[in-house]
Amino acid sequence: MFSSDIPWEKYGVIVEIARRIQEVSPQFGKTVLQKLVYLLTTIYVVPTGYEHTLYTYGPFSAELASDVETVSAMEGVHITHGAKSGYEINPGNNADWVCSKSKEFINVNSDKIDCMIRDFGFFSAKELELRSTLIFLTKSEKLPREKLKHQLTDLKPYFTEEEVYSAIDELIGNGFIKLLVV
Amino acid sequence: MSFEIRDPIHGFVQINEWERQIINDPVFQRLRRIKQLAWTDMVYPGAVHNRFEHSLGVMHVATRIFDAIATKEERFLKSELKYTNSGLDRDRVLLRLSCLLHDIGHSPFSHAGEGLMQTNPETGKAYKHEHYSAAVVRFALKEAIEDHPLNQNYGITAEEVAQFIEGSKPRFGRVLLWRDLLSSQLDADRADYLLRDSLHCGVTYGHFDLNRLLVTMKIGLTETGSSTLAIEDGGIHIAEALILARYQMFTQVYFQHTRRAYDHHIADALKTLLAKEQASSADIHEKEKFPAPTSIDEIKRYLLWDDWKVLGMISAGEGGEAGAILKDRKHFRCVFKTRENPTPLEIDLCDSIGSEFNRIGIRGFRDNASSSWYKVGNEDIPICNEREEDRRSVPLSSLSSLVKGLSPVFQQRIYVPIEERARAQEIINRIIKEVEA
Repeated sequence: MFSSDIPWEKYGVIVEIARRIQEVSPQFGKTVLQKLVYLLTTIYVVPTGYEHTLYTYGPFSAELASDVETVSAMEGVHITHGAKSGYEINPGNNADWVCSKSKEFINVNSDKIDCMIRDFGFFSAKELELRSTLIFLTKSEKLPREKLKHQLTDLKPYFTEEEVYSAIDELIGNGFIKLLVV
Repeated sequence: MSFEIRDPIHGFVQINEWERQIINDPVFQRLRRIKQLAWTDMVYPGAVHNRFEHSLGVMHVATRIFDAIATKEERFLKSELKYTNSGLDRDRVLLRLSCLLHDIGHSPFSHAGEGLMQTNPETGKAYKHEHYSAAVVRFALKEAIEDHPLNQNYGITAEEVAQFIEGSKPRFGRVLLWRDLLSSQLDADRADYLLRDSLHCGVTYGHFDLNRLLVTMKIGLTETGSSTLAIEDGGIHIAEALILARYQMFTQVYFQHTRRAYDHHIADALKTLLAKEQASSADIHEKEKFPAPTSIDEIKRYLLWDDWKVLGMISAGEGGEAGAILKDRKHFRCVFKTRENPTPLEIDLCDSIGSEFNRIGIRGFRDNASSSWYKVGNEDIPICNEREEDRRSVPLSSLSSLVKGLSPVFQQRIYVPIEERARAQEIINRIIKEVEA
């Protein structure tokens, strides 16, 4: 009856990624967080509870955008404006407290979080935007390679053909997407 | 031929024959029977407006913003995004239809019924009203959208409108730019509901200068180079006003303590009514939930639910204890609340009080501001340089100390029945003393 509906598991995921990615990411900001949580949910099948929809800037969850601010206000993470552009997210003073509330969930999914960071943690925001969008595009429909490239560049004309094909091949090589063979 | 509908915020909302036919459809008319702010009129008696007028307003505001940007950014849209006049015209029509229909899947009493939607087996998450809106468009409005003679100019499908509302599939390409007008920090939904709710509640919060907003909007680029809707730097103060309007409406109206109690009671009453209606059905997947947005039959059953039906059942005494609470205006009372931005100690204290109440059998519930649909975060409105050639955007919070200083609200509250108030207060005082000691 009086149980708390504070989504500690969601908050725990945000803090845990912030903790584990520090030595890996070129700049862990809000865009990188959006894309990593999308990948964690979609590729590594962690039930984060977030649902991303598609915008010109790739998969995005308004709920996650709002939650990271709440976690920051709780001092679970510390958000500053980055040295280059965008934001920089670091663990906050109350990171342990937030994680203690979601300990069980984090323990169960710990290996998957590690795998996600190993596979995607070192990419920049732009590289992650490209890869997460490609995964989004193939999620609902298997596409041939050429069509996938076209759909991507229709949405994001600033990526070169070479960049797109290279990312597609890499995602196929790692087993993250499957294409329609024609 | 065009028609005009009088609107208390925008003056006249213009519609064409095609839109008029959709608006005349019983599925759209149902929105007249869904109040925008549920039982908020128990606190602000003027708040009896509905989703019908809001939907018209969102279409109107989105069109004004679209037209302002299409005029101001014509060169960029045509040279960089390869738009033609007919391409822009088609996107404008798609945007108008999507905005008109974005709330058509709302349950009775709007967001108060949102917690009673079934789980999507594909995602493991509960459906949201946007999924219902998309399903209503697919299953109930396909002919109205696709077969109108005016659509021969555009060839717009119901599926396109549904996907635009959901943001679920990748069919679109550049048209996704306009999805920001349906769902983002700068969307027409928010621009309309702040002004409309403010007017009907009779409060002076929620105001901002919509005309100024229109002239300062432009297309910016995110840190990764994607197009996004932004505000030019001369419009920083209108961006601040928009955020303050939302913050104040949240704290004074949407998260008002009595209003939140009624949200809780109506959700409980709906559960009771759903259980009653489902008692004789053998094929129910999830009990006490609305039918899923997965087939025409389910959607037809869902659309039978509106405020009138619920009020009739409550009036007939079918709403159980929660129905009686609503009828007799005996809502639960708030006996404990944290600050708007509680410390870990306060949250732990709230947990302890809840556990103790559960242990000794005091009835009631706990409310959490960050679980409210209208929750407010520290919002990032992209701000761009006014020079046309420089489109890189930076977040408003990096430029505005006012916005930077605004913390998200995640206040916690505990409510109990009136008759339990004194006992609950004694226990709370004891627990606080124990913690302080």
